[in-house]
Amino acid sequence: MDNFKYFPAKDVTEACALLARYGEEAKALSGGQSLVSMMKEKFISPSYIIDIKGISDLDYIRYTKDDGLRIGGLTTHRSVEKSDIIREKFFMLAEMEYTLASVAVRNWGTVGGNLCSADPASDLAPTLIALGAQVTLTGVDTERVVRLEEFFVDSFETILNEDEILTEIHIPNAIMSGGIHTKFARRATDLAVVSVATYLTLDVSNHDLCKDIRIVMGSVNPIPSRSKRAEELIKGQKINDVLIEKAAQIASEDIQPTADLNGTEEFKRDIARVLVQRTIKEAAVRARTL
Amino acid sequence: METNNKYEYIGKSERNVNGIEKVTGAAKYCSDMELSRMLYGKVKRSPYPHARIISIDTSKAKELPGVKVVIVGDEKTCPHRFGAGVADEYVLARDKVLYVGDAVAAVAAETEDIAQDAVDLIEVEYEELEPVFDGDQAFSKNPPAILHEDLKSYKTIRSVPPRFDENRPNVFNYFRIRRNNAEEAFKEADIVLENRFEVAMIHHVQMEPHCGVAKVDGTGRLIVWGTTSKPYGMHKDISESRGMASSAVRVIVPTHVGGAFGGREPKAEQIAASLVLAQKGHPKRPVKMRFTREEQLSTTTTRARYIVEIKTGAKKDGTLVANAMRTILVGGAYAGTGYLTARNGSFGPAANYKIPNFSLDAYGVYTNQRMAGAFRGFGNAETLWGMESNMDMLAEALNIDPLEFRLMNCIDEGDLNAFQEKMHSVGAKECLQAAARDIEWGKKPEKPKEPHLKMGKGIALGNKYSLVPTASACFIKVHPDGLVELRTSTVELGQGSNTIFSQMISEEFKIPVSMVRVLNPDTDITPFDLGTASSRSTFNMGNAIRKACADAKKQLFELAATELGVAEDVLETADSRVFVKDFPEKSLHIKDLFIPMVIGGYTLKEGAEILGKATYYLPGVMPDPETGASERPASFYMFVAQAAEVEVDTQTGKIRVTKMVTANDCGKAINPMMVEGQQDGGVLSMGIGSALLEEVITDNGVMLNPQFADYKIPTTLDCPDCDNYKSAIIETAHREGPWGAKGVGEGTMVSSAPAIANAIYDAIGIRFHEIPITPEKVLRALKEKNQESLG
Amino acid sequence: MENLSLTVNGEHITAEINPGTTLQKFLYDNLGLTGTKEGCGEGLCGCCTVRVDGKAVKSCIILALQARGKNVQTIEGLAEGEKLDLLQEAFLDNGAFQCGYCTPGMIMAGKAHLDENPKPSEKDVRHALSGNLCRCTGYHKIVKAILSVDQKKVMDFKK
Repeated sequence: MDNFKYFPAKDVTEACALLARYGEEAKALSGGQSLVSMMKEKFISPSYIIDIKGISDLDYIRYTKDDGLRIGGLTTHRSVEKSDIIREKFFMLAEMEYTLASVAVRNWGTVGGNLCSADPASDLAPTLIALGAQVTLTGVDTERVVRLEEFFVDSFETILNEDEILTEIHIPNAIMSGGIHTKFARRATDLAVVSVATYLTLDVSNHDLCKDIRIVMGSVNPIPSRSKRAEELIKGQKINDVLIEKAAQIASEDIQPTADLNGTEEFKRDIARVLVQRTIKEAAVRARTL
Repeated sequence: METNNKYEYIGKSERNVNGIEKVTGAAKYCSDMELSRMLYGKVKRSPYPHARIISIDTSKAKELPGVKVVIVGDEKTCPHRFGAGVADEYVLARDKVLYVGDAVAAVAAETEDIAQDAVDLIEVEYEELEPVFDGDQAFSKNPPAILHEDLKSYKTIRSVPPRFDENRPNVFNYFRIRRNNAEEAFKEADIVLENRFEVAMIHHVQMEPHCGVAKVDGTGRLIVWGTTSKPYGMHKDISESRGMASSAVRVIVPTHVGGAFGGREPKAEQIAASLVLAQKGHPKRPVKMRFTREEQLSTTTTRARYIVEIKTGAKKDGTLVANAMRTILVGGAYAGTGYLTARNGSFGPAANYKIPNFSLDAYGVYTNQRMAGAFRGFGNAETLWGMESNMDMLAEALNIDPLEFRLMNCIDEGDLNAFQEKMHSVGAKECLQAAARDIEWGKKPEKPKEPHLKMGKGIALGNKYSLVPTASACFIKVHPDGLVELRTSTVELGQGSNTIFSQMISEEFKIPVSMVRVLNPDTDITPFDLGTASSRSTFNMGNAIRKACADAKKQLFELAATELGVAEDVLETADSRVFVKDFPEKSLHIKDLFIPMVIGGYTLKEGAEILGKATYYLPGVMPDPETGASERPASFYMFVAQAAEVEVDTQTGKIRVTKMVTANDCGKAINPMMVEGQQDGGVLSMGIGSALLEEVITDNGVMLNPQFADYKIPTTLDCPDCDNYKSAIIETAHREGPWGAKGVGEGTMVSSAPAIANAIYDAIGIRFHEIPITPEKVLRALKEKNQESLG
Repeated sequence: MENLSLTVNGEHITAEINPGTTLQKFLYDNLGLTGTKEGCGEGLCGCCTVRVDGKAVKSCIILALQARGKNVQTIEGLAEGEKLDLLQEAFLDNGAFQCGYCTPGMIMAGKAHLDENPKPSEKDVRHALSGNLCRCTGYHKIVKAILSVDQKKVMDFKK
């Protein structure tokens, strides 16, 4: 993997310009915790590496009451995990980060890099989608904000244009809400066989009623995906075990898992059903108490 | 822990004598070796499980700049086959490839990358042949494929020769035991249970991949460094496969080898040697051959799939009356040490219980997979997985507590085992009692937090023999400054042999461990040892060390007696001095026995050096070919009992080992900390891994999970917390063992899987017949059980 | 070729390297710091764990050029002269290694964690090391060694 030219970009403008110049032969490198392995294995062989990890402007976590949370694209997983404000206001995000790969990977890998690699087994993507996140994509002369769930096109494929980088993640504030990300893997450090992130908002006037819910599943489709049918079933309803069970069943029917070393399709559906059920229950508890 | 004893160094948890290098990063492994002008090797491997080689075109590879040598399997490169028991393997395949990954050609080049590019340029034309993977099919009288048509003409080893089967062409070894008449005795049993159990193929996962470095010295001798655990075995393989005089080869093993666990067959070293020898002219450049992680996981030896059919009969009162077994080691393309594993996996079941009627037929068969060879436990974790599962089922059928049932029947001092050998140094009962105590047997597990979590406890008994015939030799050199040096071919693989040998010598010479040095194995310098295998080093090399120390001390005292004007037999040594036992002030320093010479150095007037030497040789008695009867089929037996507590998530099938305990009878712990180290690794990494996580998954002979992401060994989070894991050391001194010691490492995982599976049964009432027990298998079984109970 | 300048074990280093050189390869091949082992080359075993600006990272999946201007510490840089680090001592006292191949990575991961969290719980330690594989020890004595360091510090303080 020595056959590439290396450009360290000092800021976003330079990074975008370089990406634009070299087009599809170029690849942006942030933490590279997936990219470097893929290059070593010769799965991809870019001719130009635009190293954006050094752009310190994109390493930040900011929170205001009105605006919510903003995370720079080059913030490391570890910073998100350790952030006091995230622990306080968006606990499920910090909690998820604690279980993502291993400490050393979280120390170097960035949230933007994780999303842009578009691995179907990402733990971050379902969590952020559940939290209603939007991402800012910056290009040479462009800047657009899209909902994260619209960011993914296929496994390892996103809507990013060649000159664009993911510069920011924005999560709106919410009240009477709670959520949890949970995953099933053979070992704690493994990629998820199935992961589910559920975020639930209760009705302010009636705490038994579900005002809004997002159920997002990872690893079971080419891209992280919501079960809108299951969400609709619960939305506006009084939450109870029978309803949750029904929703979980529906959610598990909404996915298209592929059989692989981690299990058969049937097994993955079974696991998805159990995880959806567990996360809705826990999200409801957290929404009441957080 | 420190055990009570009267010794100064024996029984103490001394620090590892090679530890400073290991914790500071200074330790050099074979893979860290660099020689000037070194070339790097890479292997061209077969993509087919079974195929005839039609042609190999290496012309493009040879033209690539930086490529220095390209070799293929031919008369010149590999004139003779080699192998531990059956000479069935060439260094590079000739005529036929027998598994995906079989080496067909090799390249040495200026860099690894160039070598790899060259390998990719080699074109091989094959004619595909039908493969066989399934154990039952391979074993059959009319198998879909015969791997070695000329098996009968292959050279076999004289000591413990393999036995082929006239009617079953893929069988590379057969062994049998007949004690009284099991079939007749089943008629007298009140309950007979017959079951079939299997274990999946697993890998050792040594952290250092295999590596060999070879060079030819100025006199034309071949020198090979390697990661082997058997320097003399490798020496034989290298010299015999090339028809070289044995003295023309020198094998060196660096002080640091990154783990073995039985899996160090010397293929990388063999290829490195061939790549050196194939170079034209002089001087030849050294070659390093290091396997990648993927090569390590996908082409090197494994623990075989094993089929264990077992039928056990007992009286109502719980007395075992008969046991009959048939075991098949589903081996690979070459027998390797697997030829012996297939045979010796019968020792565990033969010596676990008092069973008057016992029959066993053990087979090893070839299939089109990579070689299956030695793996911690040497067949016994596999056979005992069957036996200890069946015993639990029998206990339940008899309505007897599984612990009680085992205590009633377990073998004891003086009992006859299935070989009709009178057992000595048996810690079975004490191990069971210790494991039961530590797991709090009889006390229900804590109530789980959630209703879908179920908990249970299980226990299992095991044992591991150490092999005969066996021999270890060593030299003990006493340096003029008092330092005592051990020259041994035992390999320090991480198990701590250098440390415990140092403690033994410290005890004999009454010097601190820091005054002892252990040289790394080097066939020019260190004498014969059978190999660092079978948990044999403490016992065998330990005995050789004691004898060699006595020899060196005798020489020391002869010299000192003259100097001090006393008789030899009144002398003793301590702190690098020799003194009169009753008048310690009458003494001299060891250096005063040597004469300092002009220009430098020291000499003795006679005898050159104080150099003790000894062999410990234990031939044993070869079992009778028809009945297996033998007074001494093994050196000794190590007993072990293990117990587990598990939590099963009945919604996801996930199993967590919440508690694990082990009790091991090692005779005498020379270094308790290192005995614990063996226990920890055997139970926590390999025991839990093999029971729940690990499996080499293949499709048409291709390994589908040759990365650490998919071949799953336990991490810190897969093992129980420190407080929930206990290891007990049981010391049942062996009359022939040095300070009573036997061994420990091989016995540490032989009862882990059945203990865990028995706990799973206790938790959810489902009996698994195959490991690993994965969440999907659990969930499927739970569904089936629910349907049954509904139906 | 690209220029690289960084600090390794306190020493300022400048070198010309191929851009594809990983940090592990740079440390191991170019600088001869063979304690930083490649166990798998894909960031899954942790043998190559080093510290970059104090944080544990897997050097086999980081480009050396990304460590430009940074402070890298390898296992060889942990002891101060003859004086071993407390964690190295703890590994020796507890028998927390066998074959030793994973040990440099284990110690660097453990050390990085202890600097962040001087009084870790067992859960913390197990979590911090979950990306470092060991086949010999079952981790039991490694975890114990790391937990023992904190107690040692307290004892030293009392003295």
